[in-house]
Amino acid sequence: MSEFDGRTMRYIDTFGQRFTEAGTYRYRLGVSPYLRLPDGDDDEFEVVVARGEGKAGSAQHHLSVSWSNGRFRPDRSRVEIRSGETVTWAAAEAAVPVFEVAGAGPGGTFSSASLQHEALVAHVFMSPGRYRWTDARDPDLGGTVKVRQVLTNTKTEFDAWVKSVSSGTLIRIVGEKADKSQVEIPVGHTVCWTVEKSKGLALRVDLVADEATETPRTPASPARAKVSAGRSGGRAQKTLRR
Amino acid sequence: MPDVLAAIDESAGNDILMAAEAALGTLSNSGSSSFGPFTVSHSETASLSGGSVMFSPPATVSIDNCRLDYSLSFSFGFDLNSILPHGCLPQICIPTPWGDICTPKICISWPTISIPVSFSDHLTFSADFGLGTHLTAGNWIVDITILAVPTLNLGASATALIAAIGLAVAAAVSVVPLIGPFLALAVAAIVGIFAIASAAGFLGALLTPFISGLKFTLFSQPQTFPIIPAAPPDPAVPITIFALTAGVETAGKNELVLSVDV
Repeated sequence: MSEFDGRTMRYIDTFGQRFTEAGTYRYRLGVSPYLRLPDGDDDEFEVVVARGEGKAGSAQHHLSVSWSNGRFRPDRSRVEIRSGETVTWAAAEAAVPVFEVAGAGPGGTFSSASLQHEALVAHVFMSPGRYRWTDARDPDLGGTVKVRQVLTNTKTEFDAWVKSVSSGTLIRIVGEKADKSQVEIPVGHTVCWTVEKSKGLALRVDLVADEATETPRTPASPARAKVSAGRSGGRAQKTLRR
Repeated sequence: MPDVLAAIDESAGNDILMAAEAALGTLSNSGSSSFGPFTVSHSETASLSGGSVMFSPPATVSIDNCRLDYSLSFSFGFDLNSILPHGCLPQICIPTPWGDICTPKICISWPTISIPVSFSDHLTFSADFGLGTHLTAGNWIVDITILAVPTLNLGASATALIAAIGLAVAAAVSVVPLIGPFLALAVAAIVGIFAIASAAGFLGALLTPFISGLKFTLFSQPQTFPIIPAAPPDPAVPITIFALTAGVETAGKNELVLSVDV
């Protein structure tokens, strides 16, 4: 099982989509939500985007996805936003099964499994190890996330760890290029991928080396995640130069 | 006056005890129970060896320093929520090209873990046994049965067991997501609970069944058996034992005496 797969989002994952074109977007939640029989259920939900006046908005509207009676539901079946604002989805609790968000509207389609323009996913890394993130459709796009174990024996160390997971690390992908090829974070830290100008990025994150092959470290200076921009093997050639 | 008297001294008794221990072989037991906040499924094997025999009138056999080698294999389940703090990873906000995006807080629900432990050790004990004779399935049997469960000195074993549990807990807990910052706390708490709940008592509960009711067969003889005459052509003569008693008698030294009526 992948650490992250947009087709099977878990409690520790968040998907977001910025909507810039006005109109009504209908979407579904589930595993392969558009694979359904002709007389299947009709659990579609709406994002209604109003044309923004003046400067585009940047507000966020979060929807908590719950699971009951065999169906996924957001906490609001219809959400009204202004053009330029972002809607995010995440499971309301750990007991919610894996799901995908997929929809379409005047601005095109959007999906957690196929990240297009101005989409994002955030993932909390709960276990140490070395992970590789890839685009299932573009083998040249990818990078590594090293998640280091954090062992705390004092309140000071524990507080330092809490501080280290109180911020996130952004990986920005524009087209076929990412601005970071490697990031190093403490366990419990969140990595957020934002996608711009993509034809559909199928983000996957897989564990490639578990904790046993890594050296656990106490958080000497855990407040910040380490990132590096530049070449990483042959794949860094597409690293975004800003 | 019995027809046959057979006596063995303590030296011969030691030889018989060794044979009886070998015949007893490897004992095994299994089950499940609760131990403090833990649920435990266990299986254990044990074998007896050594010991020195002393006879005391009128019918007591004492065995000193009998060795019990045992191997325990158990798995205990433990709900980490009972010791680890409940809480949530904080909501975080990440600056993106189109504004700050905040993720929801992630609340942690700790799992119930299963902790497998293997542990082997040995102990020695001394106990008094009572003599018994009975006719069972056409055989006269003389056996000795433990009279009372002796006090087992488990202190050192319990300490070693706690150390083994500490290693097992660390291994089992280390795979729990996000456990790292809580690992030391979890291991210390679980091992502490186990120690407080008395590891010695836990060991005693697993090992006592091997000793409680412990019985060695010292002598077994078919009730009817043939005696071959010393010189042919007389045929074999069937002998039937009608009564057999056992006791300890003092004749210069203590001996186990079997009295047989045929």
